[in-house]
Order: sequence, then structure tokens, then C-alpha cells
Amino acid sequence: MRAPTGRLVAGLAAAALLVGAVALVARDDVVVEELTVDAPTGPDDPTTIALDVALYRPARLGTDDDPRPAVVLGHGFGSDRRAVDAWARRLAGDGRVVLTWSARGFGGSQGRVGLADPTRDAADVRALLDLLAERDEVRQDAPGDPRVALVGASYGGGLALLGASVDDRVDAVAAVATWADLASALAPDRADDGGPGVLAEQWASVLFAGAAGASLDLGAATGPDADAAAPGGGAAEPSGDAAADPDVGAQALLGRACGAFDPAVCLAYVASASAGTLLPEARTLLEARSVPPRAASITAPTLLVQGQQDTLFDLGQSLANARALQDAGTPVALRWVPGGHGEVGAGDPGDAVADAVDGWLDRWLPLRGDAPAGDEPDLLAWTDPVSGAPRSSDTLPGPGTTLLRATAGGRLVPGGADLPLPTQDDAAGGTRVVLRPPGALPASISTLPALGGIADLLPQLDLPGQSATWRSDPLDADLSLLGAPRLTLRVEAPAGVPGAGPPVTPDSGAPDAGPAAGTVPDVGALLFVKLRSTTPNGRSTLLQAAANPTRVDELPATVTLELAPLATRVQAGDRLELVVATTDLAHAVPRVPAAFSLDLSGDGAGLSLPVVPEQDVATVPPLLRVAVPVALALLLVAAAAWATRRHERRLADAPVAEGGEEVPVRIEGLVKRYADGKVAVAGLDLEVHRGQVVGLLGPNGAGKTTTMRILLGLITPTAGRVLLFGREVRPGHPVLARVGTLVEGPGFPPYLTGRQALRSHWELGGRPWQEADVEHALEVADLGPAIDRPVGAYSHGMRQRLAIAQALLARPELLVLDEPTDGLDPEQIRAMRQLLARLGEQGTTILVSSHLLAEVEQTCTHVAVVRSGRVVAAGPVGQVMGATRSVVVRVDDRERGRAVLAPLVGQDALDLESDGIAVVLGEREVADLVEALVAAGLRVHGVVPRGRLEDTFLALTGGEPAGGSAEWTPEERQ
Amino acid sequence: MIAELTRQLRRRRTAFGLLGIGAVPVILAVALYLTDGDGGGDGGGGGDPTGLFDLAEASGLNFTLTTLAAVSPFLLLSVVALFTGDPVSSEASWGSLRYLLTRPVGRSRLLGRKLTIGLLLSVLAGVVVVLVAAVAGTVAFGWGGVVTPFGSLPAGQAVLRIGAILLYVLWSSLWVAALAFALSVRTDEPVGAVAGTIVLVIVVQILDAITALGTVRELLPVHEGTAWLGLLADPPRWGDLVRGVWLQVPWTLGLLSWGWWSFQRRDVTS
Repeated sequence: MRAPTGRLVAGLAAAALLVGAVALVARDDVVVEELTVDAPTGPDDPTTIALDVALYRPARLGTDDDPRPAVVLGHGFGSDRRAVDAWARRLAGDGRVVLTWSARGFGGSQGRVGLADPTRDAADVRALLDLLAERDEVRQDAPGDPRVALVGASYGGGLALLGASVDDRVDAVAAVATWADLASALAPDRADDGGPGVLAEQWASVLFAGAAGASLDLGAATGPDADAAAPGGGAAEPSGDAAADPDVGAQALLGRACGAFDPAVCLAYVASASAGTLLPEARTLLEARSVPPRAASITAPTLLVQGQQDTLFDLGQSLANARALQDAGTPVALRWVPGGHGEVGAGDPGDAVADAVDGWLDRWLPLRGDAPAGDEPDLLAWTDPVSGAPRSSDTLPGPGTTLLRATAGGRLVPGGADLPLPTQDDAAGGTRVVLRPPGALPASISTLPALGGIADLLPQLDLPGQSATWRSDPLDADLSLLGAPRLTLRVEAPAGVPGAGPPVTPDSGAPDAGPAAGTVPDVGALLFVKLRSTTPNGRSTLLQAAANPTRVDELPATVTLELAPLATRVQAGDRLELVVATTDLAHAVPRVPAAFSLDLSGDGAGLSLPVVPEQDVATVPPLLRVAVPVALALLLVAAAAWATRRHERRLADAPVAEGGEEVPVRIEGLVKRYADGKVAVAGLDLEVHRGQVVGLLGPNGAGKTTTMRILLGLITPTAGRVLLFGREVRPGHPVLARVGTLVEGPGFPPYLTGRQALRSHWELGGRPWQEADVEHALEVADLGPAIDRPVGAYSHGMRQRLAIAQALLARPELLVLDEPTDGLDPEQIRAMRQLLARLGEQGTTILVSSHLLAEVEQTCTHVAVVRSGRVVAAGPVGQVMGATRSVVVRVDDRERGRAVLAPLVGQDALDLESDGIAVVLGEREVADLVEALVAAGLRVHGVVPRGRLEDTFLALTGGEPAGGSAEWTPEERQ
Repeated sequence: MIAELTRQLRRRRTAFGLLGIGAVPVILAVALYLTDGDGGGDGGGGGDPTGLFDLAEASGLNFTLTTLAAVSPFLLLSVVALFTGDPVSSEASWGSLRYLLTRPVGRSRLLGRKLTIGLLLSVLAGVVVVLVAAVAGTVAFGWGGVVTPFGSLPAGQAVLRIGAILLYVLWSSLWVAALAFALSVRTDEPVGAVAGTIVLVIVVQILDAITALGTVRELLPVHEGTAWLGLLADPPRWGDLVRGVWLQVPWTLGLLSWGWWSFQRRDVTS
């Protein structure tokens, strides 16, 4: 009964847990509708292009419910609206209507990629808002003016900002990992002197290849001008035309390579990549897509989220946007989160970004009501990369004010212009010379695109001679940096070294054909400024993953470089390092060798750091964090141990039934039913009084062994009570110390010797070896020298004797033996019988089970006959057996013999066997039978006792072989 | 407790298990020493998620780290399964379990003792590996600091970190111990418990490698198995490590509870 219900309950509980978990995880159902929206191709173009749009609605939004605010969600460069599907579903699940679209030129939308052209790509937002204005599910601020926020990451973020500047119906903006000035992002120049900058070659190629590949794959570029330059159109052009007109041919080729890119954009990229620098036309094109000049047109509250390790759009981009918006009076919030561009700008952002965006939407686009909800958000919030603690500020960070000066000896020391330098560092001159190798390889490694958060694990590689390093002393205390550091230095080209002077133009080709492919024009000095923190063991981390490319256009010059903003912390004990290098693997560098001399020790030169006051962050030391789960586990173990001990004590203190000492074994109504329905014991009652030797007699399968196992606590009964010395038996009950047992044969680990096995078994019972009855036990075992050999080498008989010895170690008052002579030869059986007799005489109570009548007759004082799980008869041996004694009489003429005996014992008590007549004696004596037979003239050859259990049962049950009646004693029968 | 310890220590398989795992560093050291390490560059690549295998010869302590990295994903777990999965089911197979249970000692106490000794032997196995590797490595490659994929550490600090790494590796094997133990109380066949555990460990590791399963993998007990690499960084990275420590707790408790519960209710017929 216990096992099935237990399993059922467990199964139901598991199923309930599973259902609950699924329900929790399953989101509010979202209904997706795919549409097409027509948008004007361009400002003066009457044609339209079709945009692939999807509308996400909460499924539960019925027609009676209030209309909900809407969110327009953009995607990243090179993908389509499907990339933000998961994010859209989440936003819709929160209760807003979400609209995603594939930007023109991507996915299923027509048109060409204009790289966020405010008049085209970003202006498509108007058409999307018009669509939302017509939907009933979307809340309208005014007819034709939906309540909507623009959200996007990376390219989508740029579209959101530019779209908000184009359409003033937008009510909120959240732009993640996006740019302020594309030109300075793709060709950064810390010197910011209007020069061509340093092309971020790797990023540019990654983006371009991603977009070109994506739009090439889809044959959806089927706009009105598709046939001129689209891949399909280009391929169909007759080759004759291509050969005749090189421009058309080149355009077709370009068309194939450019995919769905706008030709102007494509050309600008290709030319710049070939030249290795940002050409003026390209720069103009990119600057037209800048956000700060348009900040005045963005009236919607804007959230800017940026990754702290973003190497494409660094923190400076978001800072520039924030400053511009703040100056324009627009509510703005800035969030700097850990991660690189790949993580933070992903289509399905992580928790930090998603939470920031959700918070912004909840404030400015609440589901119910119109007023902004919640508290005023912080202007700037960032995460301390070391402690992980959030920090905030009410002002946008300004430039650094803490000045460090560099010495010729390579040290960074605190100090302003008015403080003298430590004299011992006043080495000759103050300049360092750095070289650029031919081919610009091998190059320094600072970071690589899309490495993101693990960028700081990349080993920093600066090659000797190519870079100059200045190091500070180990810091006394943690230094928190927030803002843009500034470096002022003097750069010169040592005389006679190539690199100074006007750009090198190629000899061949027309002058206006642009620089020859494959060379970066060698203008001025191209340098990479890196700030690092170095641990005492020499491990360097690039702060904010910024390599700060710089182009100083005219040499010699003293320049002030504004480096990428930092939001980080340098720990106490670490050193600060300033590195200026001539190469970087992720950027396009001229191949021509050059040398530059750098001077940071002159007047006015130095590094100013934006230090913010230390916030007292209570960080939990990591050892403590590790100790908590360990302590928890140990606590639970201790609790389990205490509970166990309490259970054991309760067992020991349990009330003792009266008369326990006189009746060591009392079994009442014992029932054992197994899970498969088999009934081993069906209502068994038994009492064993002190000093008795009780035989449990029955055929195999009668339930003798099961009963004994229940008696010892090995099996739990289905019903009924078992009392040992008056105490209810539980597994491992203390009363078992008074019991010795041998159940279903011996069991010993084969690798222990006999002596070791005995000792091990005893000591596992929790008592010292001295308390055991070793002498007597060894005497009983009678193994001689074999006691010190491994048990695995013993014969069955030796093991049986050892098992008996083990049972006797405890000087038990009760012995429970299950078939103790099983497998023994007659000599050993006799020895066993003598032992049991001796023990019985000494007063030990013994319960022996057997299926052999003769054995029970010879060893026991009392017997209980068991059949089919019930006690059929119980009482002193003589009485019970007396009623069942039977013999086989060997005579010549069995028929006549039967006739003679019939009047004496009754016809039913006689049976003809092959070797004689079987007679159940009843009250008659053997002598009576023999006398009668002899008197009748028959020759009696012998009288042999016949111990058959069936006879016993027949006799006891009055001839009914099957089933058992209730317990009764022979006296009752009489 | 001492009695149980003696009972287990006398077994031949205990000695074999310890010797076996102790032989691994010696074999590795000899192999690396003889091949002089040149051929290791190419042909490798697969099977080295830690980046430590190439650095094995840098010093004795480096060799210790490499050995630990090589042994911890599978071999050490197998030995742990052997030491914790064997005690109860082997007693059942010899027929001595019923005699142990008829002592006046509760089943919980008996299980507790066997589990504790099993865990102790597992810890011993881990310590043996590290010590033998340290000795063999120092003999073969000399004493010195440690070179890691993140930089380098002086010898003194490296010793401390290796100790911490060993503790973490052993803690991360708790779930295997719990699983082996739980299986061993349910079966009378010690091979079934140990082999079954090893098979399940392999299955879980395969599941962990399938990235398509996404965030479900973060709940698997082997997920933070290599989080100890963070201890080699400077400053040490604790994030994943703390998570790994926590991750073992529910699995171990769950499996042990299951084992305990089934043993308490069980009808012992062996």
C-alpha cells in the first residue's frame, strides 16, 4: 500500500511542478501580422518602395480594451526585422503594440541601403507612423499622431534618432549602441583636426561585408532602378555592351559587389577602403548622417545606452549625443553598460539593455495614463567594471582635470605644470622615438572587432621599438575614472626619415583618379594612444578597449588629444600605463616605414585624467561569496545529522509494551503485500517466550523468511505489529543489539579475513571490540588458522560457521536463524544442532526456521507451522508433532497390512507407498501397530519415521490441504 | 567511522583506484619529457578548452595545472563515482548489507558513514593526483612560476591557486558523488551503480556542449566545470566560480535526498 501511493504522489507533484514551470515561462501570447507599407523612395521621387513590416499585438488585447502605446523597433546593420523578433515579442508581451520593419535595402524591403540617410532610410519612419495612426489598437495623441516610441540598436538606433529628428510625432526614443558622428566612428581621429582620420578598417569591412552579403542573398532588390545595377539585372546585361562602355560595365560590376547598397554609399566605402583613408566625399556623406546637428529637432525624451567596451561606437559617441540633446533642452538619460558592440547592440539584448529600455518606456510611454510615470531617472548611470556595482551621476562627465606628467625615464608622475619633475628622472632629452615597420606589420594588438566583453582577456601586444610606454607607480588607492582623458604631447618627425611632408601620389593614372589601391596615404603621423592598467604580476588590461587612433596632419606639432571616455576603475596596487604605438591590427596603417619622436615631458605636456571621487562600495570579498554555499551545504548536513540523532533517541525512548522481557518476540496480525500484488504474509500471529527454542516450520514460500526479515527491520510490513522485547521494530532499532541473526546464508566481504570481518562488523555496530564475546565466537566458528585467511577462500560450511559466530558476538538474548543448516553436511548439521541445544539450555531464546520436519523435531521446544503466510498451528513440539507423526511400515503384503491397520488408526490415516504402508499415527504407538501386524501373521521388515510436511498439514488441517484456518493449538482440536 | 574507513581501505579496488589516478601524471610527465614537446603544436587544437595543454612544460607547477585540467573532466569524476558508488551496492552484492542493517545502527547513520568515507577517498584521489603531478613535474621540468593564458604568476601564489583550484574541482564533483551514491543504494550490482553514473556524466557533458540548448545549459551541474580558469587570471575572476559553487548545491542535495529517501523505505531483500 505504501509504495504505490508514494509513487503516485511523487508523480503528481512532479507533473504539477512541470506545468507550473511551463506556465511561468510561457509568455503572454503575441499575435503577429505581416504587412507591407509603401514609403516614398526619396524626397523628390514620386515612386514608392514597399517595406516589409510586422506588427506584434498582445493576443489578449480585445476590441474593448484601451488602445496601447506603440513601439517601432529597428534592427542592426546587415540583418532584417527577424533579428529583433524575440525582443519584439517581449515588448509586446509587456502590453504594447510593436512594429518592426526591415530597413530599406534589407530583408524583404525594397529600395537601397542609404546608411541611415535622413531623407530616405530614416524618413521611412513617417510611413510607419502613418500606419500606426490608422490602427485601432494604438493609442492616438491626436488624429494621425500615434503614441509611439522609436527603439533600436546599432543601425536601428541611428535610424531611431534620425527618425525622431525628422518626425515630431515621436514621443520617446531609446537608442542603443549607436553613433553620433559616423565619420568619427569609422575613421576616428583623436587629434580632431579635421584630417582624414584613421580608417577603422576591420570594423568597416565587417559591416560592409555583412550588409552586402545579406542583401545579395535575397533577390528582393526589385525596386524601379533595380535592373540597372542589381545582381540579377547586371548578369543579364549583354557582354557586348559591357565591353563597349567601360562605365556601364564598371557600374554593373560594382552593382554586383554592392548588392542593395545605394551606389553613392557603396562607392564611398570602396574608394575609402582602397585608399585606406576616409576620402572627403565619404566624409561629407557620413557627416550628413550625424545626430548632434539635428539634435534641436529631437524633442522626444531620449535614452542612450552604450557598451563600455564598444570599439565601433565608443562611449564618446553617446556622450556627444547626450551633450547635444541636453543643449537642445531635450530630456536625456545616458546608460553605460558592460559589453562590446556585439553584445550590447544585438537584436536580442541582454538584461542590462532590456531593463534600461523597459524602464524608459515605462516612464515615458506608460500603458495607462499619459503622464510620465515613476521617479526622475539619473542623467548618467554606469556599472563599475570591477565591483559590478551601479553608479550614477547628475552631470555629464567633463574632461579630465587630474594631471599626470610623463618623464623621460618612462614614468607617469602626478603633477601640474608648476611642479618640478623628480630630478633623478631628468635624463638626457625627454623624447622617445617610435618606429613604424614596413608594411605596418607586425602590428600591435589591442583589440579586435566584436570581441566585446572578453576583450580585456586578450593579451596586449606591443612590439619593442614600435611603441613608447610610460608607467606610473603602483596606486595607493582605487582610482575611479569617468570621462575623457586628455593627452598633450609634441610629435616630430626626425630629419631624414620618410613620413613628413605632402602625400605621396602615384605616378600612373590620372591625378583625379584617387590614390592607388592598396596604400594608405602617408600624411603626418598616425599614432595609437592606449591607456592600460597593469597588475603587479604584469597582466595588462586595456581601459575601455580603446586604441584611440590619432592622425597628426602636420609635423612638428603639439597636439591635445581627447581620448575615448572612460567609465572604469583602476585598483589599488595596479599601475597606470600610457602607451603610444605606431601600428594597430584593427586599423588601416600606411605601409611605408616611418619614425616619430614623441615628447611628453615638455611644458604643458601631460595626461589629464578624469578622476571622480571614490564611492564607498561595499564589495563582498569573493572568498566570502564562495563560503556561503559551502556553509549552507555543511549546515544542511549538520541538520540532517541532528535529525538522525533525534530520531534514534526517540526510538530508544519509545514506550515499552508490558511483558516485553518475558516475550522477546510478539507478532500480531502481520501482513506483507508487495507492489505486484503478491502476498507473502497474510495475517501471522506468533509469540516466542523467553527460553523457548521455537521452530518456524513451513514449505518454501510460506513466508518464514519474510517474517524474519520483518522481525529484524529489513522489510516494512504492510499491516500488523512486530514487537521485539516489547518494542516496536524499526530499521536499526537499538533493541537489535540484543539480537543475533543469520538470515538466508552468510554474507561477508570476500577480501577481509575471518577475524577482520568479525571485527569490522562488530565495530560498525558502534561498540568497541573489547565488549564482544570474541572467545566464544571463535570457539563456535572452529576455523583454526583459517580465521586469518580471506573469507573469499572459505567453503560454504566455513562461512556458515563464521556467520553463526558473528551472530554470537553480541551475547544475544535472542537468536533469529533462518535455515541455519542449509548447505551443511550431516556432520556440520549435527554440530549445529548441538550448539543450538547448548544455547537453549543456557537460556537464549531461539527462533529457527526450517522446512525439514526432522530438524524441527530434534532441536526445538516449540513449533509454529506456517503455510501461505499464516500460522496454521503452534505449540510445544510434542503436542503439535504428536498429532502429525507418521511412519512407513514395511511389510510383504501391503494390502493385508492395510486391512489390519485400518481399524486401529482409521482408513484416512493409511496410504500405500512404494516401499510400504504410510501410517499417520495419531495417538497410537508404533508398538501397537507392530503388534497388530505380527498378530495377523505378517512379517514386519521395518518401521521408518516419515517426516513429510504434507502429512503434517493434512493432519493439522483435518485433510484440507489448501488455505489455512485461523491459528489454533492441538489442544483445541481435541 | 574508523571502522568503515578500514573496511574500505582494505579493498583492493581502493588501492587500484588511487594508484591508477596517481599513475596518470607520471605517464604524462614521462611522455612529455621524452617527446621534448615539439610535436605538440600542430595536430592539437581539438580537446583543449583550457589552453593549458601547450604550457605543460613551462614548469613543474604548470605541469600540475595541465594534469589537473586533463584529469578533472572525466577521469577524476570516474574515480569519484567508483569510490562513492561502490560501498553500498557491493555490500548488497556480497550479502553483508542485511547484516549491517540488523545492527542497532540506523540506516541514515550507515549511509552517512559510507558516504563520508567515499567522499574522503575521493578527496584523497584528488590530492594524490596533484601531489604526484607536482613531484613528477618538478623532476621533469623544474620548479618555477606558472605561465597561464592570461599572463604569469610567481610560484608561491601559484601553489595557493592550485590548491584553490583543486578544492573547486573536488567541490564540482559533488554531484557525481551524490549520483553514484543514490544509484548504489538502489541497485545490488556495484558495476551498475558506477558504470551507470559514468554514463550519465558523459550524457550530461554532451548536453552541455550542445549550444542550441541555450540557457538550459546553465542549469547543468557540469556547466561551470572550467570556471576555475578564472583563478589563474590576475586579479582572479570569481564570477563564474561562485556560480559554479552554488550550482552544485541543489543537484547534490536533490540526488542525496532521493538516495536517502529510497533507502529508508526500501525492503532489503539482498
